Amino acid sequence: MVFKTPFGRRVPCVAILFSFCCLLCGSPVAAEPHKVPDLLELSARTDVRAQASTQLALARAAERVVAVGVRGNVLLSDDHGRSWRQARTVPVSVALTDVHFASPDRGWAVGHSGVILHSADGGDSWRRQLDGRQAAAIVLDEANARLAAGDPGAARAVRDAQRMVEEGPDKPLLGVYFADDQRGYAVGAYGLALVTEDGGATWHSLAGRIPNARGNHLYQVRVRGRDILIAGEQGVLFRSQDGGDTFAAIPTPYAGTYFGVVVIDTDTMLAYGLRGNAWRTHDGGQSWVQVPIDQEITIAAGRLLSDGSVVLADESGRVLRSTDGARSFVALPEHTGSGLTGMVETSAGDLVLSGARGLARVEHRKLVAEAK
Amino acid sequence: MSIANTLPGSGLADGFHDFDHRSGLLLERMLFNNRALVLAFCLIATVFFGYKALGLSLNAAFEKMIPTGHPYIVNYLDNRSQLAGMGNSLRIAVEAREGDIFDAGYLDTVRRLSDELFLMPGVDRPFMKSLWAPAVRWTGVTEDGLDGGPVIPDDYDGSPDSLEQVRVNVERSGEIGQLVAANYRSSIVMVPLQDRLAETGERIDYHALSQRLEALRTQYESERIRIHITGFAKVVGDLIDGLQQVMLFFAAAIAICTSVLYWYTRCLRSTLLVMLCSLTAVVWLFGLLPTLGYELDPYSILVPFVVFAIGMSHGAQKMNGIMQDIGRGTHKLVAARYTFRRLFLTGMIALITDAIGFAVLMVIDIPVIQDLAVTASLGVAVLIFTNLAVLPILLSYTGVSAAAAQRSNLAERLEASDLEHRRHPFWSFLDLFTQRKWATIGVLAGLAMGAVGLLGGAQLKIGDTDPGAPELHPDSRYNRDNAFMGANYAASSDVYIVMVKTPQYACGQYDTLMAVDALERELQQLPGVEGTSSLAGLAKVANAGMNEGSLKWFEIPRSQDMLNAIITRAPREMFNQNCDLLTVYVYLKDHKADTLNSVVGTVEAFAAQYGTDELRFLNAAGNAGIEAATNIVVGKANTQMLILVYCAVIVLTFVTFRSWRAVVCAVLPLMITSVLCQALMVWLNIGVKVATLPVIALGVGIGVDYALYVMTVVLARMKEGMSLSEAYYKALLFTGKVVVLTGITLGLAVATWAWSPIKFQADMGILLAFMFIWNMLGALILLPALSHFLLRPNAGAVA
Repeated sequence: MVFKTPFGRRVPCVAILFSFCCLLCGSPVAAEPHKVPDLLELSARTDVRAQASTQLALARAAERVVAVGVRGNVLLSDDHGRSWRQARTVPVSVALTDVHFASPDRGWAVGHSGVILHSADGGDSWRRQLDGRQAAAIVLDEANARLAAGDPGAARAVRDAQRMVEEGPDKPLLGVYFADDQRGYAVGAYGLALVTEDGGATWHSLAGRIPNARGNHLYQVRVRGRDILIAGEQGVLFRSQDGGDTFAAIPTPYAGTYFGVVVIDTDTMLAYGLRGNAWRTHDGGQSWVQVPIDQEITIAAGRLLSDGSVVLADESGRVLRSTDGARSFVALPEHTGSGLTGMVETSAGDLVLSGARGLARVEHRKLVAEAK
Repeated sequence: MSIANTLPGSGLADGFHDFDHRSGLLLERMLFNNRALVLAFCLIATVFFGYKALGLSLNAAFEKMIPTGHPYIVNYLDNRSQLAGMGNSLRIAVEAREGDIFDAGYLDTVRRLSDELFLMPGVDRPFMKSLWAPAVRWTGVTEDGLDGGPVIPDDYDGSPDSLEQVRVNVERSGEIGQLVAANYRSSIVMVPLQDRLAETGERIDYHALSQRLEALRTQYESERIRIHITGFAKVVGDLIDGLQQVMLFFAAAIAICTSVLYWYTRCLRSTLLVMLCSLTAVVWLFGLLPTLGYELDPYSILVPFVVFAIGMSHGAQKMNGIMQDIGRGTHKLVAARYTFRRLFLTGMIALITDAIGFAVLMVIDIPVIQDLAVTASLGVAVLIFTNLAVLPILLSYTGVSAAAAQRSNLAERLEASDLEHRRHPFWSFLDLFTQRKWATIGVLAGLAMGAVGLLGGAQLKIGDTDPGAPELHPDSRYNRDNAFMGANYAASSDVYIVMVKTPQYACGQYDTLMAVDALERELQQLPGVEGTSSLAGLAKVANAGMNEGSLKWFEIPRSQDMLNAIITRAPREMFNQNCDLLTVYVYLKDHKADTLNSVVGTVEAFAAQYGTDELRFLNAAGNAGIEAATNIVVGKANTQMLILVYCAVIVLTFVTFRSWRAVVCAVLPLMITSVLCQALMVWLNIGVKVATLPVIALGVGIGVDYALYVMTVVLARMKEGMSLSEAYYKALLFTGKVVVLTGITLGLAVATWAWSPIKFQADMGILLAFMFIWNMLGALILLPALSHFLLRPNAGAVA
C-alpha cells in the first residue's frame, strides 16, 4: 500500500511506519556511544545533592533568595533560606559564579566559560545570553574598532583579543551587577568586562576603557546610579563616575587581591580580600586605613545590612560583623566550618550564607545578639 | 549394578567356618582376604600424611577471594600495577583519649608507631602516609602564589610554638577528615600493603602481620592513647585468630558425636573405631592438602569438620549393620563382610554424590571456593577408603562388645517380632507416612513449605548485609574500630574504583576530565555514595588554589596549560605514569548489595552511553569494586551451582535406584530443604556470599546420604514383595535409626558453631544445622509420603 504525499511522491507505508517508530523511540543516535556534551550545551541536571554542593553566590529576587553554584545548580528559596528547590531550567552545567536581580523577576547570572544567563521569572528558568566564544568575539570587535579609531594601545589589545578567540571559552566571568533591568555589567578573568544597555540582548566590551594593562582578574562589580566600582587582582580598584564611559584606578596600599568592596556611603568603602585584608576609606579612596581582622584568612564576601552593620564572610567559614561602620569586626561564635563564598540578607533580616558545602543560615536574632 | 543384587538372603550363614571366603564381589574379596595388608597400608599412609599435615598452613590471600575471571577483576588486575597502593591497605587511627593531637607526646607516639610500621615486612613504603610522612603537605595562598611544606615542619621540636605551627599546617593541609579527624582527637597512619613481600616474593603472612599489629597496639595503647586498626589484612588476621578457636568447636563436635554414638551403641570399642576412622580421614586430608600444594583458609577450615561428620554418618551405618549381624549371632568377620556387601555400594554412591556435589563448586570462579571444593571432594574421597573399607575391616578384628550386640539383637527382635502391637511408637509414627492420609498431609505440608521457601527466598540478597567486616560479629573489636573510622573520617572504608582508560598522555585533557566529572555527578546522585574523588575534582580544587584559593574558580579549567600545571602537582593515586589511566574513587556508605549494584549499574550505563574506543570507563577496583564483581559472580554461581548440584544428585540417585519415581521421592525433599534454607537466610539477614555459597551444596551433599540409605533398603525390601509400609519399617530399623542418630548428632555438632567469633562460621553453623536436621526429616517423612504416591507395591518391577 502507498500513500500520496503532498509532494506527489509515493512513499511506501513501511517507510512511514519506520519513521514513526523513530519518532517514538527518540533519536536513534542515543544508542551509540558519543562524547559527553560540552558543559555549555549540557543543561543542569536535577541534582539530589544540589543543596550540599558548592554554592558561589546569593541574590535576592524580592522575597525570594536565589543561590548559584557549581554544575549550573541554581537554588531558590521562598521562605528566607529555610528550604530550597532547584530552578526548573538552566541551559548550562558550568559553575555559576555570581547572580544579581535588577527587579523581582529579571535577574542575571554569570559563570565559567564566559556564560551570562538571564531569567525573567524570578530565577525559575534561565536562558543563555552570552558565552565565552561570543565574549571573545565582542572583545576582538571592540579592539578592532579602537584600532580603526587610532587608539595607540589598540594594536596590543587586538593581539590579545585574537588570542582570546583562539583559546576558546576558557575565561570565567566572576561578577555581575545590573543598575536597572536594562543596564548591567559583567566582569571576569584577565580583565574581561562587559556592559549591556538593553537587558543583555547585546553586550559590549568595556576592557578598553579600564586601565587594566596587566589584565588582572576582576572579581566584583557594583553599581550605584552612574557610579561603578570594580575590584580585582593585585589590589586593583577601578571606578567610573560617568556610567562607565571612563574608568580610573583607585590606588590602594595593598597589592593582594580584592574579592570585593562594600560601599557604605558615597565616600566610605571597605575593600576586602586575601589573608584577612580589609581596608577602609572614608574619602572615596584618597586615603585607606587597614581594618584589624584577627586572623589571616581570606575574606570572600561582604555585605552592608539594612541595620547599617557590615558583615564579612571568610574562607574558614566564619562570619564577622561590624556595627561601627566597618572600623572593627567581631567574629560570630557560629562557624559553618567550610569556606564561604557569598551572603545575602533576607527580608526578615536573617543572613543566608553560601559556601563550599552548600547553604547555611544565621537568624537575625543570633546575628544581632551575639555580635555584641 | 543394583544394590539389591548383592544383598544376602535373610537366612544368614551362622558361622565363620561355613562362610565362603571367595563369595562377594571382587572388591570385597580383595579387601577382606588381605585385611592385614590393607590395615598396614592404612597405617603407613596415616603416618605419612600425618607427617605431611605438619606442613599445612592456614592463610587467606586477598587474590584468592576474588573472582579472577570476571571482566571487572580482569580490568582490575590489568591495571593493578598502575593503581597506586589500592586494594589492600591498613588504616591505623591513633586516638588521643585526653586533649587533642597537638601534643608533643601524642605526635611522638605517632612518629614512633609509623617508624615501626614503616619497617614491617609487606608495607608498600613509598605510599605510606601519616602526619610525619614527607608527602603529607600543606599548601597555602599568599600574595606571591602558592606556599607549602610538610605538615610537621622540618624544624619541629615539640615546643608549644611548633605545635601551634602543626595545628595551622593541619588546618590548611586538606587532610581533615582524611588523615586527621575533624575533632582533632585522632589521626591516621595509612599503611598500603604489597601482595607479596618485595624482598622474598612470598605472600604476606596475614596472621603474623596481625599479631605484630596487636603487639604494637598493646605497646602503644595507654591511658592517653588508643589504637584503632582497620583494613583487609587485619580482618584476615582476626579471622585466623578466630580460627584458633575452631579447634575448640572441632573438639566439641567430636565430643558430641562420640557421646551420642556411645549412648546409642553402649559399645566403647566400636564407637572409638568410628571416631578413629573419621579422624584418620581428616588426617589424610590434612596431609594431602600440602602434598598437593593447597592450604587451608578461613573458608575451607570447616571442610575437615564436614568430612569428619560425613565419616561419622557412614561409619555409624557400618557399625550398626555389623552390630546387628553380630547380635544375630554371626561371626564378626562375616558380619563385617555382609555389612560391607549390603552397604558399601550405597555408601560409596552417597560419598561419590557428595564428592561430585562439592566438586560442582569448582565452576565458581573464585579461588577460595575452588579450593574448598577440592578440599571437600578429597576429604570425601578419602572417606570411601577409611570409613567404608577400613572401618568394617577393623570391626572384623575387634567385633563389638557382646553386651552391645545383645542389646541390639534384643531391640531388633522386640521391634520386629510383633509387627502389629509392639512397634516402637516413634518408628510407627514415621511409618504412618506411608499411609494415604498421613502421606497426603506430609506431601501437602512439604509443598506448602516449598512454596513458603520460594516466596521467602525470593528476597535472598547477594553479598553482605551488614556494615563493617561481615566476617566478624558486629560488636567485635575490628568492627568497633571500623565504626570509629566511619564516625571520625570522611573517607569511607568502602571504596569503589572506576578506571578510566585514555590514549597515552590524554589523561589530563579537558574533554577527558569533563567526562569523568560527568560520571562523578551521576554517581553522586546515588543514595549509597558518600562522595567521589578524581583528577577532575582535583583539577577544580587546584584551579581554585592557583587563583588565590577563590572558590569562584572551582571548575575544571579549559586551558590545557593550566591543566598540565595541575597534573604535574597531582598525587600519583589519581593517574598513572603514562597518563593513560585515571582513577575515580567512589566512597560508599556501606558495601551492601543494593549499594554496589547501584554503582555498577550507573557506571555501566554511563560507559554504554559515553564510552568510546578512546575513552573507556572500566569497572572496577577498590574493595567495594571487587566485592561488586564477587557479588555478580556469586549471584550467578548460586543458581548455576544449585542446578549442577541437583543434576549430579539426580543422575547419581538414578544410577543407584534405576527408578525415576524413587529419584523424585529422594530428591524432592532435598529441594524443599534447600529452598527453605534460602528463606531462612533471608529471615536471618544472611546474604549469599563467598562464605555462605557452599553451604547449600554441602547441605545437599550430606542430605542425599540419608535419602540414599533409606531408599535403598525400601526398594530392596519392596522388591522382595513387601508393602511400602513394611519395607519402610524395615528400612527404619536397619538404616533409618542411624539416619536419625546422625542427623541429630551432626545438627547439634554444627549448631555449636553459632558461638564462633567468626560471623560467617556462625552463619554456616546455623544453616548447616538446619540443613542436616531438615534433610533428615525430609528423608524420614516426605520420602515415604512421596513414595506412597509414586512407588507401587512390588516396586521391583520399577527397579
